[in-house]
Formats: sequence, structure tokens, C-alpha cells
Amino acid sequence: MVAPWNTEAIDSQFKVVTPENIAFNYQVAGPFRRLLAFLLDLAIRAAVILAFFIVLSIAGVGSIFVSAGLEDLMFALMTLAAFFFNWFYMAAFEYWWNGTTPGKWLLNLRVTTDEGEPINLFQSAVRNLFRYVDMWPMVPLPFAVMREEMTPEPVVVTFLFALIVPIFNQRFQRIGDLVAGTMVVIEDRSWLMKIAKIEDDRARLLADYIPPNFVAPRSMVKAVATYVERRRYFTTARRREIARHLAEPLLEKFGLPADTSYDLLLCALYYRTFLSKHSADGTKEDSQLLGDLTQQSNPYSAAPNSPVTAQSK
Amino acid sequence: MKVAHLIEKRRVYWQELENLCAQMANSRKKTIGARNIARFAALYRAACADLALADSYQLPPNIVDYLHKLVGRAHGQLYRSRRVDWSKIGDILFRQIPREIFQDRCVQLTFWLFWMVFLLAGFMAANPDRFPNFAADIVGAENIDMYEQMYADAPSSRNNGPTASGAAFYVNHNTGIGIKCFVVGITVIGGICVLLYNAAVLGATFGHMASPNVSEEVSEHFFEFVTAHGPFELTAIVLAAGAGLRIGFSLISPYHKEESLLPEELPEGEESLFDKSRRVAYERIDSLRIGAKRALPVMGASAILFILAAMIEAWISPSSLPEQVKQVVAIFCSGLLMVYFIVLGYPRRESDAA
Repeated sequence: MVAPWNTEAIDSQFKVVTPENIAFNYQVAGPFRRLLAFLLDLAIRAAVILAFFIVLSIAGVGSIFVSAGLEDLMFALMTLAAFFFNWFYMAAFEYWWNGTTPGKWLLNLRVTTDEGEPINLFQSAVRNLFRYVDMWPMVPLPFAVMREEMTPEPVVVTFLFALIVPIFNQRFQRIGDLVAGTMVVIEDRSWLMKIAKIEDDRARLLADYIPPNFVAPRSMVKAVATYVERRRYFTTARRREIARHLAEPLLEKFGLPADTSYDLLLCALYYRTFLSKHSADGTKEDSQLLGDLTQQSNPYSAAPNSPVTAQSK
Repeated sequence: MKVAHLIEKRRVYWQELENLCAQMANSRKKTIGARNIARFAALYRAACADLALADSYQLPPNIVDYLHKLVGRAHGQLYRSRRVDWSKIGDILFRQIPREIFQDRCVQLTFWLFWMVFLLAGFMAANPDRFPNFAADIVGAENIDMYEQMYADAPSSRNNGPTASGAAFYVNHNTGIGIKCFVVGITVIGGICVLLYNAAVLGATFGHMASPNVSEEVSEHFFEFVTAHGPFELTAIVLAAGAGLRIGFSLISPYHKEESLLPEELPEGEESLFDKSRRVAYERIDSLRIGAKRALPVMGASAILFILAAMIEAWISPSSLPEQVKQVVAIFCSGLLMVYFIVLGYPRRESDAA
């Protein structure tokens, strides 16, 4: 809806229409971020079990139970705890923490339904029970040597289903996600929201030379903004190379000297569209003369011995 | 108005909304206070409006991105996961589930498959002169030895009778098997294989214990132990496998009878306000979802049966109660199952009126 082309398909964006009738985009989480979250959860579970074990055996809490004659009860509680931990750890967190588990929370992931709504208890239970199928196909260890002296059922858990199924749908859903009708989205909590600052005074001055009645079309504004917001990642030569496609025709149109720095022109356009006090619709007093520019040497030209010209030939 | 001014003006509100989101994520709703909640709602609506207008304001793309994330985050806080409505649980458990199970073709299929194979394996294992080594082939020779040793003593004298840890162990072990049976059902073949495997092993074990190869005493101990919890446990396996197959079949054949569908599931093709593409009803994925909806209650019933069976297995089966009491328990349990599935489950008209 914002972009003229379908960015949702390539950016794995998913559009949600809220009851307020507003459409906003969620970004669907890819398999690798989710794998990381899963491993984190696994590590957390292992750590909790280890801590539990240490408290029971080393810290001597276990012996208190034994001396009180509650050994049996203790084992019962431990087994039950292991059962719920094993099958329902993820589901419980996803239910109480609004679709996140500790691992997902750390990686800014959240489970929602296909429509972007919160999941309910059954959905969280189902999508996590089916983790067992994700481990399929399980294959026995290949060689007799490897099978020897192993506990029953020596199998290799391949996790092939977990890898293959998400490839075949657009939202990277696991089997459990498909059955429960859920998806995992990225929910960033930290972001930078800034309008790029134009530190260069020359850009501000140059902005005055842009004809006051020029109103940039929507797509051009977008292109300019995208360029200016990321130009700090580029070298001077690269800036020139990228900016020239837009800047060259503009220079011609504005009647500015052809050796004006392309980068500077786009910055000026950005400044004028978003930052300057003057309104963009050309109501400013037309006092400045473009003629001044041709008489003196162009102060906005890229320096002839700068790396700009040296590298870009 | 200049864009930078506009953003500076609105940014205060956006940041306030951000802070409120963080607060709501960290604490319960009650501690936030009514004033903040009302404020949150107002700010959220304002942010939604800003997002909708972003295009006509010509906001820079990174601000639009920011607004998408902000609205998404606030949306996630506003619409949170709902609590379960426990008041309907009785109605679901005693009216809806038995009817669904009674009519469920998959449960019927697993029921017949399981008992056929169980009885066949039992029969073959019980006649070792006609089918020598059958039980050992199916169950494994060392497992059979282990069982025979296990039941050499009377159940009550083994591992000190009933214990809480025993109950927990059975819950863990048996329910785990049930869940696996259910979950694997999505790959229909896998589900049927697991079911048949369980049926064959259980049947062969039962048959072997009844065969003349095993001493009178051991087989008596075995059946004394197994009788009480058998009905619930075997039914639970059948139900779990049936629920799994229901999901698997709904994936294979995406056709559902119209009368078995709820009004909101009828094929009408959803059409959202912004999305032109009309979805064809019953793509496999939708069918899968309907299947899952049908299967879940069955699995719930199965889980309850597994837990009940584990309780009986832990507290009654190994106890020193006389064998007749255990048999009475088994008969009582079977009767309960009959009432539940047949009396409560028999399809009737008044459900339509209700």
C-alpha cells in the first residue's frame, strides 16, 4: 500500500488490518532467527534443570526431604515437573507472555495468529505439541559400531520437517504453526526514529536555488529520503554514483551548473522537502535569482582533486 | 505545515505510547490504572491515524517504518491472549465431545484397527505351538524375559505397592506416548504405523502371558496388575491415534460435509478490505485447521483418560487389594466408558434446537 510494487512478497511483510480499519505491516520472522530463539529456550531449560539438580543434590535440599520421609513425594513432583517442562514449557510461556517465550523475547519475536491477533491457549498448546513431528524423520544410527552399548532407541533426530515445511509457505510456518493457524513475527522494541540531519550548510544554501515552484513528486521524495537516510554508509564515490541518476536530470531542469555535486543536490532537495521553514508548494517570495550562480565559480561543485573524480572517472 | 515540524509535534505522543507499551508488557493491567489505559487507547488511535495519513503527509520512509512497528507493538498490547472460559468446560466435556467422538470416522477406524490387530497378535502369541517365536519376534526376547521377571512376584509385593512417584511416572510416560501417537498422526502413515505397532506389541504381550509357555503364577500376577487400568489406557491410545488421523486425513482430502461445519467455517471465501485476492475455500491449509479443531477435543478426552489410567495404574493396580476388587474397578471403568461414548455420544436431534 505504501510502495507501488508488492514489497510484501520480497520483504516477508504481512499486512494486518486492525479493527480500527488501519492496515499495518508485520515482518514475518525467518527460520534462522527462530532457530536461535529455540536454541536459547533450550539452553534456558537446560540451565533451569541443572540449577534444580544442584539445589537438590549439592545444596542438600534433597536430603532434607529424605530425612523428612518425603522422598517419594519429591520424586513424584520432579517427574511431573519434568513432564510439564518437557511438553508445555513453550505453550505456557506463549499463553501467559502474550506469544513470547524467554528466547523469543530476547530476539524480539512474537507468535500471533494468521490474522495478526493474539493466540489463545489451544493454539499455543497445539503449535508446541507438534514440535515432536518437527524432529522427524528419525533415523536409526547407521553403523553397528555406533549402535552398540547405546540405550534403547538409538536414533538421530534430523529436524528435516522443521527445515523443509517452512520453505513451502510464505510465512515460514512450521507444521505446528500450520495446524494451529499461527505465525511468528518480528516485533522490534528498539529502533531509531530520526529525520536525517543535514549538517552541511552548503546544502541549505543550495536549497534556495531550487526553483520555488518545483514540487517533487511522491516517488521522488521517497527516493531522495531513502538515499539521504543511508548516505552515511557510502563512500564519496559511491554516493556520486548512486545520486547521479536522479541528480543529473534535475540539474538540467533547474538550470544549475553541471559540475554541482550530485550528493549535495539531493541533500538540498531533502532539506527543502522535510526541513526548511518554507512551504513546499512554492508560495515563498521569489527573491533569489538563479542568475547569480552563473557569474561566479560554482561553490557547490565537487572539488576537482577530490576522490570523487579520481575514482569515478 | 513542514514535515519536520509535524514529526516533532507528533513524536511526543509516539514516545508516550512507546513508554506505555513497555509498561503494559511488564506489568499486569490492574496496576497500570484506568487513566493510563484510556490514555493508551487514545494514543493508539492517534498513531493509527498518523500511519494512515503518512502517505499524504509525505513522511520519510523510515518514519513510516517506525509507525508500522509502533502500531504493531501497540496492537499486540491492546489485543492480548484471552483467558480460557472455564464455565463452558462441563458442556464441552459431557455434551459435545462424546458426540463428536461417536461420529468421528477416524476414531472408528483406529478403534477397529487397534482391536483387530490386538486380538490377532494376542491369539497368535497365545498359541506358541502353532506360531512359535511369534511373541519373541514382535516384542523382543529380552523384553519378554524382563516382563516375566517383573511379574514373578505379586503386584502388591513389588516396589512397595502404590507410590506417588509411581503415579507421576505413569503420567509422564503414558501421556507422552499418547501425545506422540496424536502428533505423528498428521503424517497418516506414521500415525497408523505407531498405532499398529502399539497394538501388536500390547497384543503379543497379553497373548504371551496367557500362553502355556508362561507359568500360571506369572500370568496371574500380570493380569491382576493390568486389569484395572486396561480399559482406560487402551481407549486413550485409540482416541489419541484417532485424533491424530483426523488431522492427517483433513490434509489429504480437504472435503468436509456441510452439515458438520459451523456457520463461520462455511466456504464463503474471506475478503478483507484491502486484499483483492479471494481465497478459495478449503485450501488444504483451511481444511487442516478445521481438522485440528475437530481433533483437539478428542485429544483432550484422551489426555484425561490417560491421566485417570495412570492414577489407577499407580494406586489400585499395585495395591494389595484382592483381585476381585480390581476386576470390579475394570468393569466399572468399562461401564463408564460405554455410558460416556454411547449414551452421551449417541447422535440426537435436540442438539440442533439447543
